[in-house]
Amino acid sequence: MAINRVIGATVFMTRSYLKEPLAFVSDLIIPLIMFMIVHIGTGRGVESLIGILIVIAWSSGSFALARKLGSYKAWRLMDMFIASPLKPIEFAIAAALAHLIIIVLPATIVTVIMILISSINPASLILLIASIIVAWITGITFGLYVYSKLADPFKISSTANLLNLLLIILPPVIYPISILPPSIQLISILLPTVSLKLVALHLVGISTGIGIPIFIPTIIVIVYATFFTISAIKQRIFVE
Amino acid sequence: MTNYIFVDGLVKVYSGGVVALDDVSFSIDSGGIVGLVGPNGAGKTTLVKILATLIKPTRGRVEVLGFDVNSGYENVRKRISLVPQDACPELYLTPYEHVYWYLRSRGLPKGDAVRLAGESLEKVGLWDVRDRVCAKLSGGMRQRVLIASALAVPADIYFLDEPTVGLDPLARRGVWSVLREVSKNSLIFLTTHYMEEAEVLSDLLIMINRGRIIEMGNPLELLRKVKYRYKVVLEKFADISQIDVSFIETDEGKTIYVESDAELSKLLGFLVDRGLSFTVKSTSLEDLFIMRVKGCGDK
Repeated sequence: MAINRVIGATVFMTRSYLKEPLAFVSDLIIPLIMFMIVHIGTGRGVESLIGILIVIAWSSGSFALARKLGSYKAWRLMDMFIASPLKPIEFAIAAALAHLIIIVLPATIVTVIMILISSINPASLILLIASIIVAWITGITFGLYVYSKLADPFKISSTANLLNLLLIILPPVIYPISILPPSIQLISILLPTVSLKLVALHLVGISTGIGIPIFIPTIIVIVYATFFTISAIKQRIFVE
Repeated sequence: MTNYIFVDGLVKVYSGGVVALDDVSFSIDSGGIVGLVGPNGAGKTTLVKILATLIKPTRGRVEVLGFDVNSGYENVRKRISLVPQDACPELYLTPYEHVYWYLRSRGLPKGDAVRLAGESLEKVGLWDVRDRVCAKLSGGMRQRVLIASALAVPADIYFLDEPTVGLDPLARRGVWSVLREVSKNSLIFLTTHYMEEAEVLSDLLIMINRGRIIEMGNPLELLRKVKYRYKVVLEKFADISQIDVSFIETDEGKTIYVESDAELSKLLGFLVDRGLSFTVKSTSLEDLFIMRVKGCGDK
């Protein structure tokens, strides 16, 4: 049964994280410091928290997945899964689910802070969760794309760190895009993480604070999601 | 009857033009233990990877359990199990969790996975440390976690790529007895650097060098192919220039192969006269292997 295989592989990959339930704390420190600076400096703390949720979802889908696949490949543990009835797509789903499980706690903490400092309504929360899932799925397909493009598994971690900096820390994901000059705003929305945040802001009814129509980041998100999904499907992550 | 493994004209060329396997052909139609031996870079791991459907052959026909590894790899994967070379288990799992959840990931029901995980850990001697995380186990124990995970799987063929590297002699012998037991109902395809291991375990031995099979057969049959009965090993720097014999350099030193008792007695006389120290040994499969790799000693 495919579902049994996926559950088995998911638990196999999740248990190591579950044994360190507070491991995410270090990952949350920098985003939360950025949130406090933004909140105190600009008053756009909710936007910052939504950005952090996008970051958590995107990272768990992309970098964590790429790192996991990369480490399993480097340890050759991946070979044991390849030489088994577990199908490549099942393995990828399991890896992605394993990382979804581990973001529940940090995402909950961020959401609770958001509820405490804003008057966000339940309908907006549902739309926000939908945005997070879109960010997670886009992140997964991006992670598979990164993994499949790197032949050397030992380079995956360093590449993931670089992409983390370029897609999450530097661009206006956690801090407001409105503080950037218009020309930089235009460039930055070409990044999937920034567009995802703008779409999420729109869905929960928070102004992006810039003059760019929302259909542009929406189209950008759709294009990225489509491109990475097609690429991920085409990549043969299991056979050289 | 379906062949366990059928390989015909297998060629594997890696990107960059490196030829790892060159026109390899063989067939295995009964269970037991098949030992694959060869020096580093001989193509052993490449052959295992192709048979276990990890990589694709460049040319040739390869069938495992009657299925083509290119078109029928999903059927192959359902019926094989693998211990990769130099692999590392998931360090934060305990041995029990590792074996159990690996079995579940292969689709085994909970009850079977519980039973098989317990049996397998018991067999490889890890039951007592089943609840200790792998990170806290020795290298040899971690290797046995992988062996336990692979052997717990009900499979028709088990591919084990140098499974006993890093194990102490006792643990190695423990694994040998497990492999013998498992091979009663299946095929174990084992690569090893240890000729003693291959000689003791294998029902069929394949010697490979530079991507080509150089010998294949039952260990006893292969031993009969060694035309020399003895080998005389001298120190690496021993001066034997005045003796009219051919020798080969091995790890042990200068090795002279001798066919008969008379020839041995004559040679020993020369060596004693010149005050050279030496040891005399019976030849083994390792010698056949060395002769084949170095291209000498054909019967």
